[in-house]
Amino acid sequence: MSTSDSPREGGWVAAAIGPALILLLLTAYIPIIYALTLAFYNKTAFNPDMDFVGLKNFFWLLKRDDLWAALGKSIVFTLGSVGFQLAFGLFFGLLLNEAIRGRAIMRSLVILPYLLPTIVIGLVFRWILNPEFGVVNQILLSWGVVERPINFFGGLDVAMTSIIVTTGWQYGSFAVLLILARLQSINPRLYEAARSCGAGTWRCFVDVTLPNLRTTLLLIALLRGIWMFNKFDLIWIITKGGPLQATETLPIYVYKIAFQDFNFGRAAAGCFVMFVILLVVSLIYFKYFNPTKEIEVNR
Amino acid sequence: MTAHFVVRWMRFMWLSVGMIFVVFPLYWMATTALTPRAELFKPPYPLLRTSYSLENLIELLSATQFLTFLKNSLIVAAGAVCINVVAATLAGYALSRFAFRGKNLFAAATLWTYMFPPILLAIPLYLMFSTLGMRNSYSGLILAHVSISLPLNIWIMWQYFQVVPRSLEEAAWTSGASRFRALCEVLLPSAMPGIISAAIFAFALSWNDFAFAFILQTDISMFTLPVGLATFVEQSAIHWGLIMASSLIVSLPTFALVFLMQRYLMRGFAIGK
Amino acid sequence: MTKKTELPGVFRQLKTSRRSVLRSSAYLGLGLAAPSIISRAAWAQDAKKITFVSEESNPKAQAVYDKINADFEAETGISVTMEYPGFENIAQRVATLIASGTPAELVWYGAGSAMEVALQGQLADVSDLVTDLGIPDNLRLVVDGADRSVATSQQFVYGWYRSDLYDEAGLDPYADWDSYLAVSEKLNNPPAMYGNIVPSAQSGASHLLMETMMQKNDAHWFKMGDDGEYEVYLDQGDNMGKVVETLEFLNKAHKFAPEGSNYSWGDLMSQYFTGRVANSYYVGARLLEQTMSNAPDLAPLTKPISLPAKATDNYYLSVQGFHVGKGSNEDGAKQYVKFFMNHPAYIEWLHSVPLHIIPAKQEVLNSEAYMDNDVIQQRMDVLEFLDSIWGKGRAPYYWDGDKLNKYVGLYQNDSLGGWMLAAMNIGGQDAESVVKEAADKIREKMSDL
Repeated sequence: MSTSDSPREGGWVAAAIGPALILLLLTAYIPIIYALTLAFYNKTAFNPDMDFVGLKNFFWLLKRDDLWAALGKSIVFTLGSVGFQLAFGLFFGLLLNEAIRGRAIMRSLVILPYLLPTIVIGLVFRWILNPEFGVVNQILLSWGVVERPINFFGGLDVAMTSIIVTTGWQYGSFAVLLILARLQSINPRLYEAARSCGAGTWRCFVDVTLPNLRTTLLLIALLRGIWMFNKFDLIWIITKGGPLQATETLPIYVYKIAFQDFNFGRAAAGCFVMFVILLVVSLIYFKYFNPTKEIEVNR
Repeated sequence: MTAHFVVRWMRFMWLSVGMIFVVFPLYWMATTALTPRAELFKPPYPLLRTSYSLENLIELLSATQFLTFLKNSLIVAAGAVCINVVAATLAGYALSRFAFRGKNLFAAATLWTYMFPPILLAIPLYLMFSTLGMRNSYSGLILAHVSISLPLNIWIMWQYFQVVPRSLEEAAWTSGASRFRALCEVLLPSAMPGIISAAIFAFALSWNDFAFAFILQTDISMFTLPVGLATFVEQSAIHWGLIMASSLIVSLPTFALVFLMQRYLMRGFAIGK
Repeated sequence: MTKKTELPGVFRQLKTSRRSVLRSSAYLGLGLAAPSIISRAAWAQDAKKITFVSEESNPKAQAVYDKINADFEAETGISVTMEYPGFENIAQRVATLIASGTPAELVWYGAGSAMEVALQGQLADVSDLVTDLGIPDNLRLVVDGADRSVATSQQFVYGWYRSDLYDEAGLDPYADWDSYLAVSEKLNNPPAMYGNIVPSAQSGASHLLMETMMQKNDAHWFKMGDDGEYEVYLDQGDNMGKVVETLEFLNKAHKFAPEGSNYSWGDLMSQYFTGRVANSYYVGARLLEQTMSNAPDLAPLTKPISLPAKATDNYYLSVQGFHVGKGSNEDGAKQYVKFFMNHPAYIEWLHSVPLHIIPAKQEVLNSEAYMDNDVIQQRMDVLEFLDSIWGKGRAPYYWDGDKLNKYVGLYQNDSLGGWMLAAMNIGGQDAESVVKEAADKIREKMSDL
């Protein structure tokens, strides 16, 4: 990598980084900093004025049992959903990497959900899994699998699982995309070499495919983990955190503080807490799963 | 030979099961869209429908502002894609080809933006865009959408430029090409899959977004699809027929897009090497 | 070609050095200053413009708005910009507008939601309009000594039942709690038919059922203390017994109802018009309208009925009206309200869902112009029913005493009554502990104000 820092290059760097930097500053950093600072103010939804209250909002928030319950729900949801998405991604990535007839169409179908609006997916799943009008219950009943319809999004014990499967269905396609792309770029000679040493399908997978996918999988887990931890729209469209608080994850809880209790300051403190959790977890993640060490061995 | 046969069969079986899981919701969405009004709330439904009706589609196209929503969504997505491609390509190029102060901070800071839950961005964004007079405008929403897709796109382009050999570029320089010409004529064509992936990602996020569009577009004639679709969910009734019909119309071109672009996608998204 | 990925490198950088801490605190300082700068951004009010945020989602009603707006602009030169965020999102929209220091001129939605805004001093005084238009006293919302809401319309919570099923079974319509349970049990034949519907979710539909039945049992959330201030009464003395009794009654009724753990208003209707429940309820007559359009054969058999009374025959009253944002173009907004209420299309607006959004004044209900509508002509029984219960409705903020109870938002905003039903019917908690927990939740929020 070139390290010369000549004035000409400086101009290049400024011109190349500039647009991205200005865009991010305007639409991301400034609004985020504003929203984070609200955490230190007493600000209600129905008042343009605000007073500085220091850490009061945080003290209030951290004493809430609901907060910790929501954090638990968030962890279950994030791990479940990301796990499902990775499994989904590996399943289809591996199967659709092989030469099969109709592969192009199948790949497109698998990737499609990622490009459909979330509201479409939320409503489609509500319709399909509806206890009264849902086709899934109709099929289960007619096959005699269940005697009474399952209230997928309304049952205390099944709502979270149903939400996880729904997010898996939509966002698993993101994992499929990255995994397929990565699989395509594995040098076929690696497989030939493994085969010539007598490796079977399984050994090829363990010795060649997995190590090459490692970084991709870790990257998917990180990005999707962050996105799922902050996931709001799909859960809100489907359950609004219910039944009781069965699917009330942190974003839902924070949203309720903001727009049901109308307290923006406390909601901002909630956002702050979520932000810090993600930052800390990401740092730990990279400390323990630093993919750089092994990637050179595998190459 | 038989072992090979068994493996192929297993693969076929698994793939079939998986594909049913993926396709069935899409299939049922299409079926519902084509179900006559009178039968919509009358289960049990036939799994293979024989009586189709265009009622829902006709009502969608005639009685609602669906086409306006669609047009708005396409304009905004196109804008977001263009800005993303230019900004991400340039930034990715700079990250991969130059060493400069604050480089790592810049790269890290792009990803930090994803760590903030977007729920509360409503207020600052509303304030800023009101002050700038950019509410109910395409440009305002395009900028907001860029903020969610640009960070990962910078990453995609950064990663992609790393696998484009520097020798290509250097060869162009030695034959007298300027840095800019080398970038345009040598680097960009070979980075095409990365660029297309970035474009698709920008499109997907813009196309999906509800939160920003809801805050910034308050005039119904400026609604994008997701916000427009939300108007079909009324307190009194969820208009399932309209919702499924619009979902169907939205899915078809999206499917075509993925189908045509997948060759590039398969290469462009190869990040995390 | 680098083999190392750069991603982890970036994160290694995140391990903070002293320099980056300094840098971050500089940014933070900048950020702390930012909110006050932005929120002071002046908002120029344009006397010739009005922004009107309406909860309305019905295209027919929206068309009437367009008509009235055009006439209004022709007469006064003031242009009206409509916003329809939808009932689910309107609170968020109103909050965002006010928090940004750019209140909307007009908001049309429930007076209960508006009360929250009024208590923060964000709604203009509209006492003159209320007097001029002769709005009845029980529809007024008086905060800080002045009217804050101009009621356009109202709704009662009442029941709807399938008269054909009653006739077949030889049953009389229910009148009290015992007969309600008896008919519900008799008509219950799951999963094809349920006796009644008791949504048990943290939703508005569920909450209003609980609150209505509490009112029927003369059970209260608050009580006026000796010092003239409201205090939580839910879990106190005899009143607690009444609340528990109400909860247990709805728990028994739930045994003859679908699970309903995620039901909201739409489900009350779709369950009914698809012929799955013998009894349902609604706030207003929208259930009838939906039945007419989705199951025309059921509509004539669908009859209105009071939810069963016990200690009182009170009706939960929901009031909608115009609310004028303080510091907005108040004059223009007030002109508009007057213009709207006196416009001939006001009746047409009421007709957008016939018999559902009923006029603020009884004389309008009984006027020829109002009755001149096909649906109303067909269903004069509903009109007569409404006429018979006229004046028996009480808005929740006047339920616990004659002075406005400013705390109702503490249990209504998060549908606490719905939570109580869910906790008992779905969560299996016993009634007494549910009531105590609910009372504690309100107290905690009160201490927090």
